Amino acid sequence: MTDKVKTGVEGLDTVLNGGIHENSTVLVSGNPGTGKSILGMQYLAHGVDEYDEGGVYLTFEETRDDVNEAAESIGIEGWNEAVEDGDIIIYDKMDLLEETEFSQTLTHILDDIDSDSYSRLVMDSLTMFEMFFESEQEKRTYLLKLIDILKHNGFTSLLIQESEAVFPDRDIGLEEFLTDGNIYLAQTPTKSGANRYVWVAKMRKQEIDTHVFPMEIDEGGVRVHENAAGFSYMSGENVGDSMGVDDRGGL
Amino acid sequence: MSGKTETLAEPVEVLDCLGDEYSVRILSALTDDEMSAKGISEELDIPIATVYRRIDDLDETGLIEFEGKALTQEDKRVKVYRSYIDELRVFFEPDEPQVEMKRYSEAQRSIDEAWKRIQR
Repeated sequence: MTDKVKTGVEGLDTVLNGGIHENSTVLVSGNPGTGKSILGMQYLAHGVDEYDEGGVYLTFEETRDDVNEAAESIGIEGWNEAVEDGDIIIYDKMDLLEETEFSQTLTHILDDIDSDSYSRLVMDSLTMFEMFFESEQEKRTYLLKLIDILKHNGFTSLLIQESEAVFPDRDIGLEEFLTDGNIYLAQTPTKSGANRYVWVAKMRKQEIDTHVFPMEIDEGGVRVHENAAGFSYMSGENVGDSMGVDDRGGL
Repeated sequence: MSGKTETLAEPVEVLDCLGDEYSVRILSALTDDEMSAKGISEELDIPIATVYRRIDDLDETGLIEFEGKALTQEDKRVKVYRSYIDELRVFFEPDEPQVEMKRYSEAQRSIDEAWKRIQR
């Protein structure tokens, strides 16, 4: 039995039956605004806070300041201290987007990785990483190599993916197949804001609860209501019809 | 950002190079690492004068690139070359063939190098 790595997201670890497997690579997908990055940041902050596990946050989409401000405004516990103390290392879009910079940065990242003090990694997003490659074949090859490198270096990683399909439709691409687990985040608009959902669709080698659970984004980050299994996905103030949501039973 | 594709200006000369055994061996060696003419000559056991001629041909067609000057063990500065070919495509058009070269990108290289390290 390998150890489970707790995400630190309230309720999610219960749905995951304890957490995600150490050394696995998990895809977190969803449309913009569904809370993927927040979940990733919570995951890293929790590692530092509770287990003294350093984290690496790679973002192709934001600057370091944007990330820290977001963490601050949501109130992700321990984020800013962890960044200041070097327990969380951020590589931002300035570091990653220039191609020659990318390769130098990758070398730095691998040095950090080798230092043994870092074992959690979030890549935000895989979608942008894949833009470095031209063909499907190349994307596949380099995603596999990336996963290999992360595993070999003892990382438990979340790879964030921008999804175009609107839940419950989903794109099933090579990313879904090549990763050890798939977590989907979704939201449906309501009169007062949004109803949010999380669905753990796949997790290799472990028992999981594959119901769709409601979740919230609140002070402190994402919170999953793990006791609400079996709630009606269609209930509440969904504008469900326009979303094309139908009852799929156990979904 | 990804490996760029470019059309090579002298398609017939490119094909000519690819038909030459020495040129092809030099090209393969330079895909892996940058090397000087002397280094190539020793590594591949090809006479140095031949290496110089082939390097000129390959450089002219754009199949290899001059990378800069490197210091040898004897403290001499020598020109080093490297190839960035990932893929070549030949299109046979009525008048003249066309050759497209897809470059091997920095992103590919860095991941490949990291990946090679963990295979050891």
